[in-house]
Amino acid sequence: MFKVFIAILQKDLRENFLSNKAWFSISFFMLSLLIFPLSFGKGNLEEQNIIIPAIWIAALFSNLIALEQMYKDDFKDGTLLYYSINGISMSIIVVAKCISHWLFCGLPIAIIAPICSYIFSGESNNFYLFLTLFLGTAILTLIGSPISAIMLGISARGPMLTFITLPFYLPTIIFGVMGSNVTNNNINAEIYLLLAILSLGIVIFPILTIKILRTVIN
Amino acid sequence: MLNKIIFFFEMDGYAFFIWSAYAFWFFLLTLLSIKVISRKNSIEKKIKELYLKEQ
Amino acid sequence: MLLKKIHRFANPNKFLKVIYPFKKISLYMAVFLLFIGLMDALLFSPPDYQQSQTVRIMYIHVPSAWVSLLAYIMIFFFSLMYIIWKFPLFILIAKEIPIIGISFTLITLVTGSLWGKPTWGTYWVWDARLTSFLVLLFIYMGLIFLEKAFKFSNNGDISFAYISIIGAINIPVIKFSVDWWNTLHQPASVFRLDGPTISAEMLIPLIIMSLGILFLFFFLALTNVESAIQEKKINSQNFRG
Repeated sequence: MFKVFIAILQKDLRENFLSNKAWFSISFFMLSLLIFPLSFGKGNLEEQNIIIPAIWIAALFSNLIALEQMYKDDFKDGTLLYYSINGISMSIIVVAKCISHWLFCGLPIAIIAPICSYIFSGESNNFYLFLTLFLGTAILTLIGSPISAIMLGISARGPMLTFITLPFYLPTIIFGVMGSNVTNNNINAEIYLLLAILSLGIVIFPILTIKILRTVIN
Repeated sequence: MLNKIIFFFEMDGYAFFIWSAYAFWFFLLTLLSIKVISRKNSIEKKIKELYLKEQ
Repeated sequence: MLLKKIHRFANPNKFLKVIYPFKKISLYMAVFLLFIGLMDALLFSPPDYQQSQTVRIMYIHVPSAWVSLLAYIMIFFFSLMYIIWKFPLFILIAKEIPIIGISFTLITLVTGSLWGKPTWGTYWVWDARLTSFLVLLFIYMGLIFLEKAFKFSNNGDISFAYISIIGAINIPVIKFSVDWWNTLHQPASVFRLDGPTISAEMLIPLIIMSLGILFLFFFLALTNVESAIQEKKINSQNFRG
């Protein structure tokens, strides 16, 4: 079972690495970060303290853009059907998909964001930004996975997916931004809340995704 | 008598908030009811036409 | 046992016959109670000692909020029952409620902000209760769009059911947000463990208005369900009488 999991994960990562769909989201993140200083005109970024909200908005939308592709290609060329016919457990597929999605749309953003924040605003104490983004992007991926599976049925899914997913992302955004804004080294409650959401989400959302995928495929 | 009516409509100076809230409530509920009932009526009409066609 | 009882009503034709008297009764009750409630709320109830006359907005704000929460809870339970027992009637009922729920949510938000201006000084604050109610509005919108998007596909039902179940996470957040966070919004004063803290002169019109709104909601929902069943009958081409 573990061998199958590794094989599927390797296939997903290779496909993501070779095609442009995963690189697209990280480059979208950089591009949309570029827009924020430009849209503020001559206003000073350091005074306005806009960089943390900007990073969170950019991370959210780059995650959303990649979400649409999460199961679509494998569903369209019949790979998912092939897996299910060959008796491969659906949970392996879902976990592998979530991990590969997060490795390409969550982790790079969490690593790049502190550097971007340093370049834009000159603040060097960015450990909390990294930590909240590290947890937050994983939550975003987990929440997005069942909704992405649901959307396999309809043809015009881009705007629909965005509209339905965004309300469910809001708690993560609220706690993430609150957690990133902490500058002193005290233990803060928002990171614990994010951890709680993450540990609940790891249990609930893959199960939902498995149920939905089963009904969609059959 | 007239004074009393005017006093009632003034609502201690909060007339704008109270009456616009009630007006919005009434407007939206009326709109919703009209939409629901007209949908029902159009379907009944359709059923009647189909019934006549079958006969 | 329960399943057998539900089976009897799962036939849409029987269901139509069962709900017809309920629909009529709830229409008459809604008109009667709303009339009495409005008279009581606007003419006879006393002004509050803190908020003076603006407290009259409460008699439309609070019942709408309760009904919009109740509508979502009903959608949630009907979706859950659809996923468990796979009766198409349940999802048909669940799909007709969002359009009513979104109207009551909109009423709650608008009257709430009109109430907030004289008492808090602003139309809107980004506190927990208001934000979570706004999220409820967007979830209702998403459900309506989803229902429209799946018009020509056959697995729209199951998607609707799952999305409404995921969205139900928001309901406890709305209910307990005033207890968990320090907000401007006042805490619950009617549904409390130690009994309501609101005075009887204001509680009576509030209860009458809530019952009236509740019966109006039932009337609208039942009418919508009736027309949805008949629409399905026409579309499936096996129309008999």
